[in-house]
Amino acid sequence: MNYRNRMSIIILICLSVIPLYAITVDEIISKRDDNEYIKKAKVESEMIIVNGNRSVTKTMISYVDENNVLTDFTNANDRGTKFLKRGEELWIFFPEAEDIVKISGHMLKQGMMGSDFSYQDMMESDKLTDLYHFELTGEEEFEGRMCYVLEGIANEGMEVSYYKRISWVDKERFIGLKEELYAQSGRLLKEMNVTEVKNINGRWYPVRTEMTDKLKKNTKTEFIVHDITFNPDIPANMFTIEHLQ
Amino acid sequence: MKWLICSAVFLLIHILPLYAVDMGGSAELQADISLNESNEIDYEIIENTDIEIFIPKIGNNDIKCEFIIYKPLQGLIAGKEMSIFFKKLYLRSKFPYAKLTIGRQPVSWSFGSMINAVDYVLGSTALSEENNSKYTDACELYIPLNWNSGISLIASFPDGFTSDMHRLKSGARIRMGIMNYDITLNYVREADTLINGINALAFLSIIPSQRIAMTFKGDLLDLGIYGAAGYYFDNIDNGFFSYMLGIDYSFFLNYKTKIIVQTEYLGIDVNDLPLYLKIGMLKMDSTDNRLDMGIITMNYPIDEFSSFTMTGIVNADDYSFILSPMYQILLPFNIDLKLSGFMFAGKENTLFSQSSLMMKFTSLLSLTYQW
Repeated sequence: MNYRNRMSIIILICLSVIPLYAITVDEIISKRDDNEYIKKAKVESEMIIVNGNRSVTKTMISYVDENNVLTDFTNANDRGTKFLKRGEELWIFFPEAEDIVKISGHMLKQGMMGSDFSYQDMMESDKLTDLYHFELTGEEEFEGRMCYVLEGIANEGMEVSYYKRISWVDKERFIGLKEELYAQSGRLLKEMNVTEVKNINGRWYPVRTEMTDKLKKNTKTEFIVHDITFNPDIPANMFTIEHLQ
Repeated sequence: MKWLICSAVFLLIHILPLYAVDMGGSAELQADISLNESNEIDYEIIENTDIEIFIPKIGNNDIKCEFIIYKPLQGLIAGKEMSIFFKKLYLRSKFPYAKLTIGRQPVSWSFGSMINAVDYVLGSTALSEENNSKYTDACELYIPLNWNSGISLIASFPDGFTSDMHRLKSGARIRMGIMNYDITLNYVREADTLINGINALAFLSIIPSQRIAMTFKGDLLDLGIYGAAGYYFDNIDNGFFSYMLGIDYSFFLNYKTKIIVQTEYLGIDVNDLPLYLKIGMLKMDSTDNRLDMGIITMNYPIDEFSSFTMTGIVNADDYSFILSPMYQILLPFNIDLKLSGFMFAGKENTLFSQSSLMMKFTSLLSLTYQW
């Protein structure tokens, strides 16, 4: 076998073997969803809203079951205020008068309790693979970790908060470490950075996230997960307006 | 009395933590300044403390206790009248197919409007501001039908629990979620108002003793829409209607500032009310058989901690109006500052004109600390 034939065989073997080891975009997003997508959980968390050198802290307990989320605020200013998101509907419970009111759909894009996270950011419960079509645009180092860089465009007909998102996904832990969120016009709206990741029950999960609204100056919202229990027992009537009261 | 209240609060603060019972609440300082018809300035300073006691659940039973002490400092320091009002003191028991609440409790049938002409307690919510009238001694049975539907049956005693069934107010409300709309049907029968054993309701109140109503709230494209219709009657042939339709909408003023606008129309047919009520108590054009009012409010979020809201109410019959600006800011140390004002304007003898009952202008400065 001459040199030319040997090289041809080596190249052929390489070409046939490489696909076995290369990861596809769907696999990256799927692995990320496996870590970050919550099917059922109880989450104790804190939201720190910062503007310049001022800040306000809100604490909450949330119950998640696929498309349903119930959040109960526990800090002094908002204690007892509850949000129930069920499908596309959002309800609020005002503790003072024990009133339950359905919130109009356009309010879902508003900052939740004055934060840089909108109600949709906090309660969007679909898998990313269902909402966006992603393409791998490269690999980059971010905060000392190698990341896949993915660009996602909203699937047609999907109700999403942002038309485009560029994600830096940790190559080893499959966590989105950074995300840029864009309007359809191409304007950068928000930037999200994960500053702490923990391994909880064998899955990596972001426990400290910072959201910056790029249209505002000197503001950010930090979201800290203090405790998360995956697949807890949640009472059957948890996601009902009866339970809000 | 004041020492009794202070001692009770002091004991609560020190004893409750021993029984895993927690306390929270707020302290508020209010300065109320008003300009009357004769251009004289009146002012009043009120401070109050709201205390809520958090009691752990006992099985399927939940006990709620919340009360407000008016003028606790002025009572102690300046010898002024201190008073206490229980907002909540009730027991809620959950059963497999129902929930029963007995005691002092808020009864509210809000559905997102600024003015609710078909609430259980009329006038308890005006321009989203609430007052103590919705806290009533009552017994409520709630039967859930599905996740967003249920039936409420209420019996309440506006003057406090009594065995006199004439003082019983009752109501029922069915709430249903249909096609992403929140729809309610309700019925209320007011308690009799007795003076020396004679039913004085017809003379004292401009509102008949019974009403039936329906409300809805949902979305129409990017608009939030809501509405209500009510029929008020003493006997079914002799009543009048109220109608309300509202929309809410939000839009970006620039890329970062989102303005929220809410506007509603309220119409009340008053053709069957006595003429002296129309021209006396309502101070409206007596040739018109309907009270037509428009309300608009606009909220401008200045930043994460402060916002400005402007509200206007106009009586379309006589063009008298109320204008109410409000500025709200969360100060350092978790202190909420609210500065609001009400300006009344209109020709003589119009609904919102200045009179001996209506000020030219009132303003309210409040500082609230929550803990």
